[in-house]
Amino acid sequence: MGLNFDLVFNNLPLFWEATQTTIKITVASFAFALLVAFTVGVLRSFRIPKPIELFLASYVELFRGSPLLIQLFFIYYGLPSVGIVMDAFTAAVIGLALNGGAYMSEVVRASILSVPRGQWEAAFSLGYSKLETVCYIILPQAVRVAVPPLMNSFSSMLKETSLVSVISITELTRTGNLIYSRTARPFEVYMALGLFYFVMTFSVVLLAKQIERRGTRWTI
Amino acid sequence: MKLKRGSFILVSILVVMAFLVVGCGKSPETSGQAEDNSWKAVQDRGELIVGLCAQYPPFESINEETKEIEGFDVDLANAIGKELGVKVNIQDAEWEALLGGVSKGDYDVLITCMSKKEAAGANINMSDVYYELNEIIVVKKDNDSIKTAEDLKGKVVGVQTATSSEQAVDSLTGLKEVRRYNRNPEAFIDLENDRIDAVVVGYAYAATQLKNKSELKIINTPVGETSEIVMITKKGADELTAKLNEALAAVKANGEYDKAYDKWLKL
Repeated sequence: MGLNFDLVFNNLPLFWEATQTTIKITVASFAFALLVAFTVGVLRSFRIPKPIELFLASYVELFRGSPLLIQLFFIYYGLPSVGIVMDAFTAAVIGLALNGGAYMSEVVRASILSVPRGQWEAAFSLGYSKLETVCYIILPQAVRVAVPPLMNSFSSMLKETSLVSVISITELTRTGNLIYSRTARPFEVYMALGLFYFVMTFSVVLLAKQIERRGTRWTI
Repeated sequence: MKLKRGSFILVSILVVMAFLVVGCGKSPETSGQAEDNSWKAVQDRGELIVGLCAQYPPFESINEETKEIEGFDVDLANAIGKELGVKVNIQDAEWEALLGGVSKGDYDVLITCMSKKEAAGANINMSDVYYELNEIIVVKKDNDSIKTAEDLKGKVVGVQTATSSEQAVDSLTGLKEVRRYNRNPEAFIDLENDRIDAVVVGYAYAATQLKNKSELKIINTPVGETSEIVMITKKGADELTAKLNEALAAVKANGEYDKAYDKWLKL
């Protein structure tokens, strides 16, 4: 009973197709999550009207405070009970983006707070409006702080896409399970599966290093 | 900087290789065939540990009120336990974990409506066939376009993953898309919401589930091959398998099997 990695190579087309699905979902979700995160994060670092603050805070706490798996189930299988029906891909992206956005908005908020108070005062004394200050002075500095933790979020989101198999999307993990149930070779299949995820996250890590280095150069 | 990255990659490769070595080193150990004391172990313990996934009524499910696991397989397991003179200890587990669990020795036997084909890839023993199950199609009541398995061409078909239904669907050609669900109820939700055209599922399951779903109907033509449902034991547990077969025959002869059948599977 030796190991037989042929079954991995024979199934490479299947793995590749599923990897594309995983990448598509990750990229789409991360893009929307960034949008949500910056909107919510920037708004919440200001003094804003109580109702809006309460709404945003409860969004963040709700999505951080419950498992992503349950959120996905709720969006895809639960919402049809009240008449909201969407296809699986949309549900996956909405779920991942809202969940990821909640975590990432805190990253954005923290990095804005990390910009020294003096930067604000200097900008105001030069006659910048509030919006101009945020866009030209604060965000460029905050983004540099935010890049490493945001990359963290990206790699965890990439791995969390394995959960969308529960809403009948055949992504990488589901494909691995399919091949496993056909071949009953857990060692080879799950090892290959792990490697696929590792290669993807590690390439993103390398990319993030580049961005960080460039970022430093730009601002000096 | 350059050196650092090089050494990191080297370490990564070493870690992967270490995994491989550990994996290779382990395999000869498992191939050594131990003496078969499978039945004696059960007898000494006075208890037969039965593994199942209690999410497949009418074969096994958790009763809403009593919270007990019930169903055809449960009654069959108890009847067989009585015949063998041992207590029956039912263990609920995830479907995907069952075959690994029985090989590892967590359960003596799986009685969980598993077909020969579902278990075929794994290295295990099978008992005699205790039930024959057809896969059928479920569609919405107002659907007139699907009447046979042929009509599924160009349609989106839902199925529970890692089941004989999935194998039946995978044997069809020309489907637009196969949507694979962890559990059947999710496939039915998608069917009700028009996100898929049809669900392929075991007949007995469909029949019990559709009693309270008025907008769905069964197309009673078999899809793929008939599944032969068996009990599953660890590879090499020949004595236990023989004992289970004996008990199954006895249970069929003394009417216990028919009693369970009438209670759960008669339509």
